[in-house]
Amino acid sequence: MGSLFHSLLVLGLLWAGHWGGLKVMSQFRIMEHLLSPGGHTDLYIMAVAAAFMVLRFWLILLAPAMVAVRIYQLVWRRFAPDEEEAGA
Amino acid sequence: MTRRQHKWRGQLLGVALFLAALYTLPSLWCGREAEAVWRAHPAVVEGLARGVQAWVGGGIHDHDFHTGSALFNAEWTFGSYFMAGMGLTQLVLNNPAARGRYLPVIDACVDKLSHHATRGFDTRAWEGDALKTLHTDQGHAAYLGNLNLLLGLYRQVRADNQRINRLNRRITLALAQRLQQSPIGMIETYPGQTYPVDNASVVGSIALYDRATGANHRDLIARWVRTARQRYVHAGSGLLYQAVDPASGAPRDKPRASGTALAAYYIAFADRRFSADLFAGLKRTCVTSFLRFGLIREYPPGAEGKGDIDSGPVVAGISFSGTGFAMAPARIHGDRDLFGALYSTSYLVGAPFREGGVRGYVAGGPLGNAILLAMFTAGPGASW
Repeated sequence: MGSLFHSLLVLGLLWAGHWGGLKVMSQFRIMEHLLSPGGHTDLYIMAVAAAFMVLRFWLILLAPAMVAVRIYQLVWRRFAPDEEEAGA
Repeated sequence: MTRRQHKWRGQLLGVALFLAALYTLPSLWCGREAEAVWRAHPAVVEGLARGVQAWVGGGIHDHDFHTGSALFNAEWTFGSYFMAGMGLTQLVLNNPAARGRYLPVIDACVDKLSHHATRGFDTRAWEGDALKTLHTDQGHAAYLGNLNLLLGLYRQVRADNQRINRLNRRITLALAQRLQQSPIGMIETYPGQTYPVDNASVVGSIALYDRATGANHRDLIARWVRTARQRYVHAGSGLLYQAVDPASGAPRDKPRASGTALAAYYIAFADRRFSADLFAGLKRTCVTSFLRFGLIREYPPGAEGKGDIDSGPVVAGISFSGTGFAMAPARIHGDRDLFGALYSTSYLVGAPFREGGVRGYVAGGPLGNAILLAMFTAGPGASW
């Protein structure tokens, strides 16, 4: 249960970081550079935009499934047969 | 059951659960507002409209874009005002109560579009001003077609602006004459460059003019549609060729989704059936999905190519612009499922952000946000 709590805490912090990232991206119009054909070529700008998109894709595409599996694992372990039952 | 069997079964079910969650949850999350956008619900659409209003109010300039080409930067400035004007006018047509709020912004878009500085890119390409050479046979299909489309739609929300009405009349008569005289049924966008999608906006604008004034260009429009079906729609895919030779009309580029989707939107103002057929071709050959996110391939099966300024980036064959543009014909032709799937993708990649009732897509910039507003409010086209 403790590990699930920690996972959700980390996820919450990443969401907060993503939300802050949206503000920064919006303020400085960084994402447009990534998508413009001849856009910004400054490496750090591209790196920031790419890192943000990786975080966004991970949070939306993968994180929900990972949390679902984490919860399922906790429930499943509760029903694991004990040694005596398994030996019988 | 032994502990070992229990563990294996648990891991197998865990993998199945992971895949099921991966397949369903992300698209559900990203598409949760799709129904509200489909219904043009003010809470979502007007938030984006306020964002576009802020872009227009702040002024959009060539240096806002970084395409690497002065011509394309200027085209994108023009495109931003055009799409903003279309989106806001459609919003007002969907919700007349919003007229007072957005009419001044639409006026600002029209003023910017008809200003000589905004059409400087077109003037330089032609070495002649589009609005001062209406008596000639220069094409200016993109500039005049798009501007006139907005003017025609504008008249649906405000009929008594005599300056707009006169400009709409002058441009329409010139475009109709140029189409009439063209041996290939298409007029040029720039010298030596002819794009069927730009001609679709020309024809759509003539139909809107007819609706506003009672003029009759039905024969011209019917002939253009017949020619386009016969010569400029690729038989195998049902897609429109992206570019054709100005002299012979022979294809100069492949049939492509970005141009077809946008043409299906424009031509819906003139011929809903042709628009439906283009949309059907697009669906048949270019729609695909990944984890239930709707995507549009730029090229039909068997054809390959790169992205360009029109299609935007093409990643693994997927067209960013085509995916966005296809939302308009999906709305116009009532394809709620495809609209929802495409909307989910726009949410995932566009990264919407809301602050103080204003909504913007951080990946969009002025042009991307204006395009999305126009796509979200498109339709019903020919019956407007």
